Amino acid sequence: MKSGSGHSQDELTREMLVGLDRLPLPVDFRGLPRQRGARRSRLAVALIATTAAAAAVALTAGPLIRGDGSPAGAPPDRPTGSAPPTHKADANPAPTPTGTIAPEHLRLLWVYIQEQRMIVFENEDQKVDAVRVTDLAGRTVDSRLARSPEPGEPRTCGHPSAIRPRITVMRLAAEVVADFQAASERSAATELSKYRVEVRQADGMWNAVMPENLLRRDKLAGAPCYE
Amino acid sequence: MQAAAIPMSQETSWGELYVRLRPTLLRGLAALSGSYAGVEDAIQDAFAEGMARPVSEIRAPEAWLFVVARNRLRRERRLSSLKRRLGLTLARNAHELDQTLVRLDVSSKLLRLRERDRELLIAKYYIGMTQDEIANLLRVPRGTVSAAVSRAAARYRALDQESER
Repeated sequence: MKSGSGHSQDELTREMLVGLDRLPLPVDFRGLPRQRGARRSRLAVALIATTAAAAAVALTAGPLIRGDGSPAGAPPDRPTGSAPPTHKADANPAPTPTGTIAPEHLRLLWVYIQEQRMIVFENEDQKVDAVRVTDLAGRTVDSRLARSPEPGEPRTCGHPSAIRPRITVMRLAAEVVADFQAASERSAATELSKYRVEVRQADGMWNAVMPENLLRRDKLAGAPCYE
Repeated sequence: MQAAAIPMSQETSWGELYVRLRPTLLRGLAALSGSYAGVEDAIQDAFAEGMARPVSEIRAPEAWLFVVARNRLRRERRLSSLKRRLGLTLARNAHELDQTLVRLDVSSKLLRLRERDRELLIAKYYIGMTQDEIANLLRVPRGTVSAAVSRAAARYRALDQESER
């Protein structure tokens, strides 16, 4: 169906979703006004009664929800700028020892969004708590929590049955992205030459994802995935 | 393409809903009203009102929250405007992020439309409301929703042609 001047509804939807999703969220606002007031108390009390996330906040006596919409107390999972490899200790999820290899059935789809210079890792089975990229010396380049995608947020085209995947968004330096892309172009079983991807699951251990289970996608959900 | 539809399970709690929907509601309402000021408060008031009942009792929580927050925002702004005219409060301060609404293509174009057109476009194409939800919640006669949205879309597209000339 076409709207008034010949543009399809899909185009308009895409334009609105992509366009308005670029609007920033107030970063200083953590879900509730900074001033202690009636509204803060009312909503905090009610939410604390209903969500585990809020309960965690109550324990830490911090703000209820972070500016990016994730529960307070959780490490930030949204990058705020370009992040070159820092080689610092894992700043986000608490450092835990690396295990061995992630189970064979655990796949991570990834897509690089050139315009936003970000990589979206996606797990369709909801089994991943966090994803990190390390160099071969084991130093963490970036580490982010996995979460449900927000409405309209870029996701890879995945299997149609993957209703609620978990995504992890990272902004990685160009050399890291280039390494990923080069590996995907060589062959499915080729190791990344300089970096590797690890996932943390319910057991709290970090496990490396087998290169053949690291699947590059070049299409975003919303466009036709299978042509 | 389905806009912003979220599958709701029986177990979805208000807390989860808040985390998931806040960014969309915040952006949608800021684009609708042309300012971030008061939007966050309006969203929280809408959630506070909704939390009097289980999520499952509300058929389309996104649409419902959007409309309730929009009503709150309008009421608050009318009241503030009245207070300013009566000299009871100072002029409203712009939110620090308001400039981004002007700088971003989509939102700046939306702001050049009438508020009713903006509301229909955001409700339909950003929040993902169905025609029935628009008819019921935005009080548009059922038979005219499609035509009203189409007219708003045409006026939005006409802005592109204007700027190309």
